[in-house]
Amino acid sequence: MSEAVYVPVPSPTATFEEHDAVLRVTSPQDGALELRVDEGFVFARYLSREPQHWISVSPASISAFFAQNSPVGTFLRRQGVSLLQQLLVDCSSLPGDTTVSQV
Amino acid sequence: MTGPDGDTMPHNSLSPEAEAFVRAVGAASNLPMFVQNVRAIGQVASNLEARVALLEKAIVQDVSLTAKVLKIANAMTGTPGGDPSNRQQITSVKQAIMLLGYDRVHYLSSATSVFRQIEQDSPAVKDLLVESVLAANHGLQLSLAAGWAKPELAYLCGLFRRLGEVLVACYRPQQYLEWLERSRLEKTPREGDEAAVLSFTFEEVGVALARRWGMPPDVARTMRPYRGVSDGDPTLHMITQCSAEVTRAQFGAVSSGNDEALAALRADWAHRLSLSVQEIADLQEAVMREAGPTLRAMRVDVDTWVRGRRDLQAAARVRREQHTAGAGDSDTEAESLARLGEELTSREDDTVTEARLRTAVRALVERRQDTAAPNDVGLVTQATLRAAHEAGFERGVLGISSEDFKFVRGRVGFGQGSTELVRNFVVRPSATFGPVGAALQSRTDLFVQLTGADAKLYGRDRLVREFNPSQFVLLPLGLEDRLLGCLYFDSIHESIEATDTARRLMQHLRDQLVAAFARHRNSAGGPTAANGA
Repeated sequence: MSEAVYVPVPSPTATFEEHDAVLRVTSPQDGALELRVDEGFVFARYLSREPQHWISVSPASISAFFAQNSPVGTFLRRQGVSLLQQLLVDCSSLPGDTTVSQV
Repeated sequence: MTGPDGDTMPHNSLSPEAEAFVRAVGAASNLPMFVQNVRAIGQVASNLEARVALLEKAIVQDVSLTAKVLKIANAMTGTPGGDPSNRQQITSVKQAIMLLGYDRVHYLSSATSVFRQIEQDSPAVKDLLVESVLAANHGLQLSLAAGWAKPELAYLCGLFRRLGEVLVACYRPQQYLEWLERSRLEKTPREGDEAAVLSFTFEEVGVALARRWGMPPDVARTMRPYRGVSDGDPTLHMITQCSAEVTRAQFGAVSSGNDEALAALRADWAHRLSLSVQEIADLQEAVMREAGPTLRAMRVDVDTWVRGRRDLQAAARVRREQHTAGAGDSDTEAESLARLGEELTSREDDTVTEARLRTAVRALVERRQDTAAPNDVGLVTQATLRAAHEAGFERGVLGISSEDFKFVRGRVGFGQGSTELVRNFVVRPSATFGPVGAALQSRTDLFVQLTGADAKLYGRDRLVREFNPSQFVLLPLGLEDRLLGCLYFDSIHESIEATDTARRLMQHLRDQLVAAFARHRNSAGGPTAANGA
């Protein structure tokens, strides 16, 4: 399975826009980022970086959105994120200690 | 569940057994072939075009994966409120990969394949995931009601509260089921009891893995049962513990399973959290509503699942009572057969169906009473199916559990198209399979007329849709804690009068077959001997 990306929790100055099933987060540090949930799994893409393809977000990263009570966590939950399922899939299909991206 | 006296394990020490388990998680030793194939794509194909072609080739070999990928892609092309006639239809996997992106399709198809294997190998996992999602949403709603500042963190802690148990169910499915069966017989199971089977606790391995995976410290902290003190924010700890306990009492496979216990639990936590009992009870509607999107993503029909859990708890209660009563029961098989024989004497007010069933059951009971008669499972099976046929059922199947008890498959049948019926009779004894699977899981007998509310409920079941009966009977064959299989009888045209007496006689009929399997097993000396009978 392709490596999951760690997306930092947006800073308090970030702005959030919802477009249908996509959340666009814009912050001065990281530029624009989009997040979406497909089948309970979370994907992200940076609009300011190439290539702009969707890549899965690590469970540790998703946990951090919730832990810091970020609006991203609320958005993912309402879109049907299935974090525990994603954790099981990731830790079952990636080898050894690299199972889940570390914080 | 109640916690044991005293404190929990030391925070940083793991027993050798727990250490071994923690190391085994994520060993990725048994990946589905699909995942093994697509993992190698990056190594054998250097450019994106070649990788897309290989991924497409791997996906199209799996019909359900292909359908899923196309469905996601087509959902992407539809814009809410847009003109449906302008919608681009995605008809090939290649188009879907181009639209969604290689990495996304690679991940989604691999994840689907991995989770399908987890569900197959570890049937309890999905139910635990559903319970965890409900506990998480309970935590969220409770923190809002209590005015606690971080509801999303409460959601996260509720979600991971039983992580250790989920992982054990996933990686040690047999041991987990063994613990579950033991616990179902206990009146008040306690957190930590699982150590008797596993040599470690869910809490130990859950905390260790949460730390290893970089989960927030509050998640690891609140995995420990709250016992009046907390080494962090006590409100978050109480919210998490309350949500786990209330959800388990409502839906857990191991639960006291009665309304009084749930009310007492809510009263206890209401007092600690300075809320009213009603405020906690009122959260439930929002919990189910907010859990909806995630449960839909997991392909869980909430109504069916909840009904399945209630049936499971009811069946566990009965078995617990039987177990308790059985401890002091000196009744012999001969005595109970004699009593049954008296019940089976002919009655003048019997309907035709009842009289035929009574005769058939009596013959089987008399055969059991004859100690010189050999035990012949084949003969009893034939007699059972014949009795159902004579009682008016047009078709019937004896289903037998696979060796790993994950599926019940048709073995012998009668009636029109019986060969096809036997071939197509495949049920997974799980609530996630549908109402018939739920009934097998909870060992519930079904006598269903496909009219009114039952038509709505059972009409959704895949098996019922396929067989399309006007009425059917499903009788699970349970022996001790195992599901040996089931009897399925149905009728398409004729209506069979289903009196209470007829139902009881059919259950007696089933019991004679189970007794034959039990004697066969005892003489063959193995728990799966029924499969070979």
